[in-house]
Order: sequence, then C-alpha cells, then structure tokens
Amino acid sequence: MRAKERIRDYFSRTVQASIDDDADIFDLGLVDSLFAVQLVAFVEDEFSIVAESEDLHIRNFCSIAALTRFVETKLANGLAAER
Amino acid sequence: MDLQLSDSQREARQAARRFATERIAPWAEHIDRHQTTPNEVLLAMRQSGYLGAALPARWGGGGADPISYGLITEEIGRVCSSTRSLMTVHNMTAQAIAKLGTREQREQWLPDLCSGRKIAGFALSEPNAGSATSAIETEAVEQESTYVLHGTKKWITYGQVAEVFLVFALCKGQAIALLVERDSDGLAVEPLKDIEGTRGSMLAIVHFRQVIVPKANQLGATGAGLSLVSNIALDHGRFSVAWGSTGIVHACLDACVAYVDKREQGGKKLKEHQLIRRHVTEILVSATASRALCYRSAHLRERGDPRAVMETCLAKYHAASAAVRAATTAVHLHGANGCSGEYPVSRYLRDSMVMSIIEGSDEIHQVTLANYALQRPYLD
Repeated sequence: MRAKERIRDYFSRTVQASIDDDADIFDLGLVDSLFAVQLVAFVEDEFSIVAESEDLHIRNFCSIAALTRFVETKLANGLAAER
Repeated sequence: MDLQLSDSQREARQAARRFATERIAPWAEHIDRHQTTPNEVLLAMRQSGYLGAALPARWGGGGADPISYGLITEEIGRVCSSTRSLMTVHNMTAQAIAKLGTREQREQWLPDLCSGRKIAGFALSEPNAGSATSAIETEAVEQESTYVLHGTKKWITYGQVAEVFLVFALCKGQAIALLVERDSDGLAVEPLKDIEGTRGSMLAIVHFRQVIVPKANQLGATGAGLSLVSNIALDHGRFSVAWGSTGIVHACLDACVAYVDKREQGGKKLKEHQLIRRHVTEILVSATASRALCYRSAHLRERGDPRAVMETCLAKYHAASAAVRAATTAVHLHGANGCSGEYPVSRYLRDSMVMSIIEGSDEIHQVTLANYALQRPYLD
C-alpha cells in the first residue's frame, strides 16, 4: 500500500468520520489535540522514520495530504541519505 | 506481551524499593505534615539518578526502559506521592526537551536535568486555565531576538525549587513553549500552602513580569505549544501518575493487610470478619489491575505503538480512580484510626484525590476514552 492509502486507512480507523484529503482535522474539531501525539507515534511506527524537532509542526500533521507529503519527503530524504 | 520481568527490571524495582524505604519513607509523614520536601530528600533524589532514569544515556540519563521506569515510579509513589510528583514534573519537561529540543537545547539542558543538578518545572496551568489549556492568558511578545513574557502560572509542582520552567504562552494568538531560567529578572515564585493532597510537593504560583527570554529558548514550533509540546509532556506525566497511583493502591493494600492481621474486634482479628475480607480483596484486585494496565501501557511505549498514547490515558484513569477507591476503603477499614495522623491511610486518601485531577481529570478522561472506545481498539 502507498503512503497515502496507509495514512487514509489510519485516519478512517481513528477519526471516525469521512474526511477529504485536504481537510484540517484540528480546525474541523474532528480530533482533540492529544491526537497530534498519536499521529507522531503512528508515522514513526508505520514508516520507520523519526520525527525530528524541526518536523514537529502541526502543519505536517493536520490533514491526510499534509501527512502524506511529510512522510514521502522523510522517506525520500532517508533514501537519499542511505545512497 | 511478556508479563515476566527481565532480570534488569527486577533489579531496578528492588533498588528503587530499597531507596524508597530507606531514604524517602522515613520522611513521608514529615513531608506531608510540614508541607515541604526537606533538603535531605531533594538531595537524595538528585543523587539517586532517578530524576534522569528514563532520559537518553547519551545525555547522562539512565536510559531505562518504560517498564523499569514505571516500576521505579511505583516504588517511590508507594511511600510518598509528593516525592513521586517531583519525578513526574521533572521528566515532563526533560522528555519534551529530549523529543522536541534542538541539538543546542539538548546540549544546554539535558545533562543537568539527567544528573539532577537542575530540577525542572512544568508551567502550563493558570488561575483561569486548568483542564481547558487553550484558555491560557500568559503572553509572549516578540522583541528582536527575544520574547517578553508576562503572566501568571498556578499549581506549579515543585515550583518552589525548580531551576528551569517550561512555560506555555500565547504569541499573537499562537501557543508557544519557552524554557525559562528561575533566576530571570521579573520571575517571582510564591509558595502555595494548605493543599489537601501531595502537600509536600512545594506547589507555587509563578509570576512572570516582563521576563526577557531568548528566542533560542523556544521549544518546538510556534503554534505547536499546546498541540505537540504540552501533549508530549503530559503523555509522560500521565504515564508517571498511572504508576504512582498504582503505588498508592499497593500502599493501601500493605497498610490494610498489616492492620487486619493485627487488630482485634469482637474477640477476633479483623481478617476473620467476612466484610473486612471483602475490602481487602477489592484492593488486591485494584492493585493487580492497575499494575497490569501500566505494564500494557509501558509495553506499547517500548514498541513505539501509537496506541500507547490512549492506553496510557486508560491506565492513568483506572489507576487514579482505583487509588481513590482503595484509599477510601483503607480509611474505613482502619476506623477512627484511619482518620488520624497515626496511620498513613488518611494521607493516601488525600494524595489519591489529587491523582484524579492532575494530568487530565477523570472527567476529561471519560470523554477522551470514549472516543478511543469508538475506534474499537479491542478488536486489534
């Protein structure tokens, strides 16, 4: 499964609402702020990446699209670093 | 999940039990009665390594796994909830720096926090902002390379002795978190007295009057202060309070078992009365269930499982509620003695009531955990 599908799947299981990819889940009040910490743990666990201090902006975690961009960038940077 | 403790986890628990029994327990009643933690205990905690036990080894911390750290917290919480709360708040700030700090911030703060040379406070609550953290009024105004901080924080655990505070404020309506040194000009600490529980936790009101804080002391991004920084810290706080509350339940069990084995009424020992036996059983079940939920939470944290966040809430909610029930039962079981200062159970009851409020009240957890239930985590 691609990153976006895995993230969509997680959101559908946890947020309990139908969400557009660009919808800001915090602005819409679909989740409480504690969910941001869950999302950090989710991306670290699911994609084996480490969210560094400079990554921890709420804009990286506020929607399916934003989180997908963040994960894909981290994975691409990780691959580049490995090469 | 392996429910068997490893050798190192067993050793960590034994060492913490010995430390708590020898260095903290003799002071517990004094700490409660005099509403302060004496220097002997503060020094023992600083030197014990327990303040930095769960912090990364590369900064001088103990690098303890979550179960070992939990067991240490439980053992200290079993003898003195005030002293345990020092571990809690210190680690809330230190863990937030470890996760969110820049390399320079980690280098600047973590060695001193790991070694106990500095004690950290966590300054989120305000006179008008408790559970509703978004209501904070403390303001930070940008001024070139600094913030000018103005406002008042209340209920700051060990605020009377903390050498650095993690302070939450609004900057142009966005939440930020700042590390503020105690000796900053304009920072004033006012002790809070006559609290019902954890009376020795040296609570304070901390006033910030135009305190100048370098921008380099900002922890995390602008706007992430409440969503990420405070929640990462509070997640650690809840984990610690869950284990500390489990310690209270076990302390109640210890006290009750000793009392019913010794005390005689109606020509026989209390332990021979059926209703008394029922009470002891209830506390035993609570103690076992609380610890089991703490183990589960620790196990998930160790694996980096995202469910750990909510399972920690679950453990904290259960253990704090269990502590109130167990301590209430323990006081009843001790009769008039339970209402006196002669036995520790009245202290356990007052301390347990604090556990149900801090790091998310019971009511907040009841709402949050219902959301978790709707995700059907039990099907995984």
